Amino acid sequence: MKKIILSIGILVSAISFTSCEKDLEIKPFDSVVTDDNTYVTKDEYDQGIRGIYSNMRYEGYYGGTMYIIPDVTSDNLIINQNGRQSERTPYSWLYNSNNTPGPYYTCYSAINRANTMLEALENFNGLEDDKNNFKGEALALRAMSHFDILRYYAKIPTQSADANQSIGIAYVTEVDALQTPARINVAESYALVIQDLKDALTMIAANNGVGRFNTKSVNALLSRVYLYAGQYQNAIDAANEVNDVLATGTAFQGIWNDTSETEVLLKFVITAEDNIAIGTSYSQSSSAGIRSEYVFDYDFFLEFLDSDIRKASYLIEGDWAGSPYNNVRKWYGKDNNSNGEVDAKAIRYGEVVLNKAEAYFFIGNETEALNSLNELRVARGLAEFSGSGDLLLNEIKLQRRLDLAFEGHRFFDIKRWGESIIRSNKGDKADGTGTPALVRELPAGDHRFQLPISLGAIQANPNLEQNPGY
Amino acid sequence: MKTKFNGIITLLLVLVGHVVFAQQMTVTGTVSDGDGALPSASVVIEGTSTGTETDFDGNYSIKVEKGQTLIFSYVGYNDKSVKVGESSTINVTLENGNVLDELDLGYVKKKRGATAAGVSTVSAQDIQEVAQTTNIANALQGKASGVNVTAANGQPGQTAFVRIRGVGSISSGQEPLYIVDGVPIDENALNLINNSDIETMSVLKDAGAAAIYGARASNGVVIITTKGGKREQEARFSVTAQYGMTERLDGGIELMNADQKLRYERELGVGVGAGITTTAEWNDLVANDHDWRNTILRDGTVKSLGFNVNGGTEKTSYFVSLQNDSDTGVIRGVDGFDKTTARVNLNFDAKDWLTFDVKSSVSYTKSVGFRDRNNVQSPFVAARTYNPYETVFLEDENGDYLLDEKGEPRYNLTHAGYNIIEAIRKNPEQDEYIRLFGSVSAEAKILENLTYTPKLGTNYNIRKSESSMFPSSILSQYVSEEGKPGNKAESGSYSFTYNFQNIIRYNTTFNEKHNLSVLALTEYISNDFRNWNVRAVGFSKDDINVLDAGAEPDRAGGTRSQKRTFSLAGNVDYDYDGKYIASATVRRDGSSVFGEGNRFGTFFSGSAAWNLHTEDFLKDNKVINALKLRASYGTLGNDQIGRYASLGLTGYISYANEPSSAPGQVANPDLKWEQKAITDIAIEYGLFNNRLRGVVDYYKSVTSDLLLTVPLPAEGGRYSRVENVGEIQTQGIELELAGDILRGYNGINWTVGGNIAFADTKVNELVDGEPYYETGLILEEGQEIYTHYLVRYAGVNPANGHALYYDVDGNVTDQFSGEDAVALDGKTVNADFTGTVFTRASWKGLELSASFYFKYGNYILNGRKWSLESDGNNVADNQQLSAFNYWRQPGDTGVLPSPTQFSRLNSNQLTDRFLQDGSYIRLRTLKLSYNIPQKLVEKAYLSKVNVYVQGQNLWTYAPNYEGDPEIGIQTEESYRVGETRVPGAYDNGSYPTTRSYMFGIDISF
Repeated sequence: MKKIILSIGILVSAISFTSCEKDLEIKPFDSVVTDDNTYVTKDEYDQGIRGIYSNMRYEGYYGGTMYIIPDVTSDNLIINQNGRQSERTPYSWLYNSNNTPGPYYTCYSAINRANTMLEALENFNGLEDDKNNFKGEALALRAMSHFDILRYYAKIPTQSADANQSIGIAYVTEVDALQTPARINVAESYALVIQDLKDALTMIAANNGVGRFNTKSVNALLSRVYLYAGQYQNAIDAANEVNDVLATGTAFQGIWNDTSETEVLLKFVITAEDNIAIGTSYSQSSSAGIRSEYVFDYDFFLEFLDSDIRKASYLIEGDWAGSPYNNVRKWYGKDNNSNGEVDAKAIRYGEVVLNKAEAYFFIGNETEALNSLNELRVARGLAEFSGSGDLLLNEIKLQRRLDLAFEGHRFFDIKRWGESIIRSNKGDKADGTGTPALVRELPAGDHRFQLPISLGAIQANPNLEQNPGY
Repeated sequence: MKTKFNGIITLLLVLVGHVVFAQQMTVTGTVSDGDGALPSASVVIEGTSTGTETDFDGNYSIKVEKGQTLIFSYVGYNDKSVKVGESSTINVTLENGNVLDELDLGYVKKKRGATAAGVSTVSAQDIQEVAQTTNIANALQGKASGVNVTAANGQPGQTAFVRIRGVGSISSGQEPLYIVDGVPIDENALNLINNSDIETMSVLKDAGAAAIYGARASNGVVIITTKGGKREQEARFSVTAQYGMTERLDGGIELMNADQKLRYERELGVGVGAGITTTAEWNDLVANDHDWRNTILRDGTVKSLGFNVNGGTEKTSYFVSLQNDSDTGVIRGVDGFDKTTARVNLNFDAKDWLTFDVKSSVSYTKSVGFRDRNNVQSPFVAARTYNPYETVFLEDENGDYLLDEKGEPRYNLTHAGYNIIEAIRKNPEQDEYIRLFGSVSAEAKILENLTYTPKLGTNYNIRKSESSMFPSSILSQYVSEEGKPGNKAESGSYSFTYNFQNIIRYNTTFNEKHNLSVLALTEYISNDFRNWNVRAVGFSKDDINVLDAGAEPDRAGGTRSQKRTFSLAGNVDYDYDGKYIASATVRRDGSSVFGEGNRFGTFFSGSAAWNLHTEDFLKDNKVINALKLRASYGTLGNDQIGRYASLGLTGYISYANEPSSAPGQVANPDLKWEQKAITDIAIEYGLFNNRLRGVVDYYKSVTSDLLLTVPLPAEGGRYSRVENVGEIQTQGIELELAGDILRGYNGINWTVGGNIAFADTKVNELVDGEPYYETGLILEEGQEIYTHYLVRYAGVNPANGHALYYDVDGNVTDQFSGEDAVALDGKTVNADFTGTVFTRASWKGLELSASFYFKYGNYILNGRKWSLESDGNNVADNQQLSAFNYWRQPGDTGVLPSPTQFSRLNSNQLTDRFLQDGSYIRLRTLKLSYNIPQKLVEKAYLSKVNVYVQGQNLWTYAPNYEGDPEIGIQTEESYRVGETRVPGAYDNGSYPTTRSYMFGIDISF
């Protein structure tokens, strides 16, 4: 009897010993171990490409801060004294390397995903068209994220004479997670963004459905990048490749609650399941009213004429804590919702027309500049404009400010024009009374036009140089 | 039923009759310890529940039959049994058991004198000095030298950070290995234990003791053994009850009242205070004055009720218990924590050579939750953020409540846009856990000296969490989709662990003086973890909130993971006549978390001890009665990192509700065990018949191949991965000393003792010599670990009120730059020393005990102060009264910077201005108990009645810290996305520590 027990015990021990090595080799349930079989079928490649888009709509990027930081740091918005006081630091340009508000990490994460797919696509065995389309999308997304880092953290070529030779960004085309690249200069950086977009154009399909890049949207982005780079004829050429129409009337209003796709060239889709609410950085609403973090600057509010269809689309008046405010409606929600969950409209045809108008102006073709400007003005419910020289330029700039307000453009536009940011001295309430902005000017040339790179990134990459002034 | 009852009565009468008519005699005598009488010592007839206690002079008298055996026992002394013969007088001298008691080393039990291991023990009595509701990890505070315990926060049932001998690791787990009745348990599952079921806790600190646990033991081992019954003892019942109250400790922070806050706003020219135009308006608001801390928070109630029965027959023993503990906590409207445990421990001989031991317990806990983030969704943040002139409900001009459609008062959203009282009511959350624990072991005596013990332990933890957002709640209005108000979320997890051990032991003695024992074991541990969550939206009524009542399922999720380890170990213990002791252990562990080829690690230890007091030259020494030298060296491991940390992964997500994939974890195929080598030398001594006793222990540990979450370059796009980098080293000295000042002097026993542990952890080596950063902290080669890393504040410029800083080179500047942060030498998260002073005195049936806990030399970044003295930044929120003391005119010194409203600067940078010395001493426990005299007790047919009052955290002295200095975690959720902080580094006012007052009664019969 005892011996039987002993034998059983020894047997069991022996079994558990021999089986152990194999037992210790276990795999996760929610991920696959990355290897040659990670991407095999067309669907799997498609899912990998969608993974890049998924990154684009994170809250720290087009799912949120991309639409508030460039407006909060400019002259479109004023802080509501009765709000939660979020984003106060960028609002007062008080950022430093400990609290920098930009999307540096998120962008490089998207870039890594794009590079991962570009590498994986070398082994794609399906149709050449599919392969090229996927590559085109990955290249366009890689270019877009680099461009966003570029405009946040480096000078813009047209900003100042020294801009092109000043410090740009690390342009990353390798998958290696441990790489420690250095920053190249601005001119080189722009050249690489443009090259990626041009390469994308040769491969990408004309239509990939809502929420994905296609020929049109790549051309549209290209026109924006050329405009930033000061290559105006190229900007016009790229813009001319984008055949689209401007939205008018209810179709324009429908853009903002996702009931219309007119004029929208690229959006990142955000669903209720994603739990991402772009609009909460602007406001929250309840039966007690709309509680805004930031509201229209009063002087800016006055620029919207009543006939302008953008006024009703962008503005919602409402009381909070007994005072009326000019609240931003643009990111309010889908359909009739007010929970801030709404698609991230990244590129619209309106911008392309404005890119064209501005580029024509800068190459001296005021006629075409005026044509493009009036194409937009009419679509938005305004009379045709006539004027030339500075008058025309100022009107182009004004229409750009009005049209692209709260879409993450204003800070970069002022920056690339080499101008100062000057806020009004009006208060936060609907009639311009209330508390004005404490700090009202960021002079042209100030180092704070280039955001600081976070201390963590500087510490993790010995080859990474911080921007001057921080 | 009635017949049955009559039957029992008859039986009892027969038994009593039997006793009465048996051949009886009365035995009397005195129980002493050689120095003096022992009052209240227990005298029990073996195999029965009949017994008595000695009186205050140590005398007893008991009726026994000839041939029966009397067992004499006294806490802290070894039991003694004496068979009753002809003599009617039996005087007994008990030996002090402090040096000779049995140590539980997990796989084996040893007499303390017969081992070379470095172990601290905590007795049942020690544990009972804190409230029964205290999590057992937390109850360890101050109970063992070198075991540094910081409560995570004051939340009822909350666990604690237990750090044995300093910081042993960085990114990987720092918590010790917990072994409950031989089965490893996660720290967060400790709530499965009923405190009063615990017989002993042993803390294995050195490698000699812990090496048998090899792989997982690098942070020390805490061995918890639950009670069992005694063979041949009639059933003993006991009932314990405890009732008390708790109150929060806020460290005396003075916030502004309504009038002060309005004045502050007016001075700064912003907010409500600035906008007031009439005195009437001002007075109206001042009339609203209330301290939101009292409005949102309250005093808590603590209740415990327990029952247990234990006993045994010739071949079995048992212990059965049932316990309910509850603690409401200090948030109004939240019924904090409730725990019910049941246990059956059974031990029986199946054959004369085969003994089974079964331990099983089940525990149910429920904690009602709240959101603990660093914003107004936390009751604690809200309590100091809301302005004292803001009301809970909206009022009209006459001060009457404004009502909603249902006639309920409408909540005031306050300036923060959120009313926490409404949220507590309308966004309730709760977590329930069921924890099952069972182990079965069989001890088979194969040969006279050889035993084989297979053991199977299982632990199953089930969590079920629910949270509701009522459709009428403010939060629902903020976040719900149009037409789908409210939501209900449920989530849960299942964690099943089983552990299979096979142990073979061989003990032998040869030539009478050579004692040898050999142990070999295999151990396999497997854990399977699953979780799930679902949510529905669109509800009609607040109180109808099961998932089915929702209009639309909204979310479903879940995942699963596994971990396995396999180990082989062997141990040889040898001693020569109890004089010279040597021990060697080797253990080979394999863990699934590491990469192929690196899964197995081998750990070993050797230790030796010399019992000098058994040598001839000390044998008859009048002063020294115990003296032992011991030394050990060994290595231990750590695998407490993510489960698949070595693998390069691609994960699955969604875009536009369609499947998507993305690269996840970065591969690190070289990932291997973190290793810790510990050297330990100690002297244990007892003087004057053990009236003075203690331990002096020196150790040095070096942890190499540290498992560290290393931030990767941002440009690689992948954030971080776990790597083996660097080395840290801890050196320390621990002193334990206890003395019996009085032993039976006029019936008084008085013991005073304490311990103190000095520990110093230094970073020896990091990857490429580069510093490693955790938010606000730095790890740098040659520096103390977790040194605060901040920009230095240089006060206020008296000329213009601007805040000044030191740049890296020490020059004063008014320009703040994050890059001017420096390592603040000597200001670290870790204390220079921690310790305890305790005293215990008894006289007649009275006993008084107290313990103080102290901590010296740690620094805490006071985030609460940062937000409450915000230089105008947070003027919309209530502020500390001290915020008034700002720069007003040139020449002002000793003031806060000029508020941002005037300076147009952000002076409120998180600099060393908010770094404070967290040293403190606290009266951790105070207990006064009284044993009701035996004569009275017996009249009530009881055997023992003890009543007591006790208090916890009654007094604290923290001269340099604003707020309560016991800081563990900040808030449950990190204060900014992606940032976590080291325990004790940062205080942003999570659940406050509480003070408690308790009354209790223990009855045995």
